[in-house]
Amino acid sequence: MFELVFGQIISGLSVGMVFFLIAVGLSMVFGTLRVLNVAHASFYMLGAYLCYTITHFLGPSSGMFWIALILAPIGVAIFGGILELLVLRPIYKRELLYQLILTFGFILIIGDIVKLTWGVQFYQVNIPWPLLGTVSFLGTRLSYYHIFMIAMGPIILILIWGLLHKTRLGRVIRAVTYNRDMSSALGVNVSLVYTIVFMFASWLAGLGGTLMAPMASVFLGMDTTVTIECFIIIVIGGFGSTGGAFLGAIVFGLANSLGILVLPKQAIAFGFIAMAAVLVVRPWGLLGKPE
Amino acid sequence: MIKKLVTFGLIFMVLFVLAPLASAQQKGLDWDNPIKIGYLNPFTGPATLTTSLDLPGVRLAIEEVNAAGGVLGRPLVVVPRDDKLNPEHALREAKDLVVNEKVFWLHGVTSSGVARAVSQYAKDQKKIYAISVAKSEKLTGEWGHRYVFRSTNNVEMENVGIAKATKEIFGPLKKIYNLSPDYEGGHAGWRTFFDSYKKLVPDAILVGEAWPKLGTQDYTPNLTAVMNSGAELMFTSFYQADALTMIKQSIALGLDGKIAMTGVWWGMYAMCQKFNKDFYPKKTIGGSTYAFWAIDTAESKRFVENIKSKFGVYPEYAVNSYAFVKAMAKAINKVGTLDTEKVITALEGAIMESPVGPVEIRACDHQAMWPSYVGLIGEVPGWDFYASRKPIVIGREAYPTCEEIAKLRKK
Repeated sequence: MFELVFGQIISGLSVGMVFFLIAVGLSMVFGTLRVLNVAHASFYMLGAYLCYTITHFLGPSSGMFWIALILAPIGVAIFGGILELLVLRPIYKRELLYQLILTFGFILIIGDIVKLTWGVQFYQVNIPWPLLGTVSFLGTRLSYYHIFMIAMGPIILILIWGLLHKTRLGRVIRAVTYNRDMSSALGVNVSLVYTIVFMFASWLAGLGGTLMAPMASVFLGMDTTVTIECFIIIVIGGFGSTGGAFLGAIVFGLANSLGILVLPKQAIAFGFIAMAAVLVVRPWGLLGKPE
Repeated sequence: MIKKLVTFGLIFMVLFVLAPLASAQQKGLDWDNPIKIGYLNPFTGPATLTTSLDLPGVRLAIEEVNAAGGVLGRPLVVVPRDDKLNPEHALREAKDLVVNEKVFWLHGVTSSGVARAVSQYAKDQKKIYAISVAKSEKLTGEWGHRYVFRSTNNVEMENVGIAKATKEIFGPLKKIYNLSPDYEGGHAGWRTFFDSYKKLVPDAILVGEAWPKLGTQDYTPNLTAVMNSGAELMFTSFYQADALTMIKQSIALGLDGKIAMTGVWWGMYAMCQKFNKDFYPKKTIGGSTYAFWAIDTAESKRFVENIKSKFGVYPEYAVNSYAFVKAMAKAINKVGTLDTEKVITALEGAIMESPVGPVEIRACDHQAMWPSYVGLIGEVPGWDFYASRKPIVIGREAYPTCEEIAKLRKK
């Protein structure tokens, strides 16, 4: 029984950590820019496709993945930056509805860009050296790559926390998040901060996509399948909260994987049930702040 | 002066380029009065993949038919339209094809929902509709009628077939875990598989089941549950990108090789082209509609070579459309007139001369008795991918009998 539960907990955590990487960017963009970017997951898809191209361009060795892990998220960040500068910037002052329509348009545009560039085929990236293989731990079989993915979550969380709390840029970002007009009056270049945050969020989504590429297949439409999950995670954790996205991702991952043990047929409902429960008890999310 | 030279040069170039093209059109055919095929399939969205694999079959068949003198002295042409994977849109296009383009028959469609709508329209209009990719057994079963034909096999027969092959390849495994997508086709596929498997292995039991949604990015929680369930066999009807994800994650967990796996469509070329000696699921069987790597006939080899060199793809779906268009041309030539009713009668029980050999279009339900190929995934000598090396060929024994079809339609 213990092995059964432990196995599900580990796999639930690994599911949660990838969602965390996507959801945390979405949450940051909402917290700072006050924009609900429904196309955020499309950056995730773009990251996965770039990972495929880079690993295949560089050669057959699966170790090339590590180069892709550095380059692909940067590529996505640059793409995000350009999009923010050209398209998103003019609509910050508009109503939420305009932003939703625009970012929904991004989903279609990015989808078509991907289709024109990579075609409609689906692709796969090999699990990179030296993470191939499995290890037995407390009676459960774990793949090294899963362990690596689970470890990436806390690493990124610490990185974001360090960025926000230990650097000057982080202080500025927090100031802009807290009060945009006041920061602007004090001489902070708010537009630049917005671009940086949006690029960073795109980088995180690209990182999620790159990390997922060796675990899943890379295909058109892989973005829309994770969008709902990301929203669930942010609602559970609290909009705009980094730690909340982390906690939400863990809650969501475990609800799903332990749900499979209890009621496998209805397992996909457990994430939603967790969200509903949070909405009833703490509508502003586990680590969010009531408005 | 230079301008004039350039103009003359251009005119000459146009003449030289166009003249050979014009003469390449087969002489003797009435090109002003072609017989049109109204082709429907997605040209936008993710499902474009199947179109890119199916349409070449129509085009190649047309080329060969026209080169051999056409149909009633007239050439065949195809009028492709985007159905957008949407029944309403497909209906609009179908109407336009029938009313304005005056096509002789409608052809294609990947989604069974779209195919049902087009089939109903064809019935009302008394036009022939040939399904090429959509696989719901109901299309030629309880929803079938005089005007609808299908050139490929169907989900029901594939699941019956895979049950038989599973028993033959793995022996009578008893404990089964089902991991299938949560939509009507996924549920129906599992029911068919398990019912037929239980006839072969009466004491087979279901030790667990889960229904993740399509497009799930991480099946690991499901796969760990499968591993800890004590199952001997995992059945699944996930396909294409989802199946690849699932296979990668089972390999990462070391599930393949421990627990036998059976995937209804895991032997399709779209999947198998990803497999090689470093990456393929062990102890796994997969089914396919056309295992061209394992078919050693000259006709099949010639066909694969033609499709590959002309269209740059392998003939995963193309083979069914190809065989049907050729059978249709033959039927019309035999009847000698473009009379839909007479052509239907000629097609009933007709033999499609296909790259897999002769395949009968059964008279009672207009379903081609197309086989399916199921085998253990492994090395295939001479090809650069891993697939089913010696697949078991499942034939008409896996289809319901004409009496069963009649009973279904009476309901």
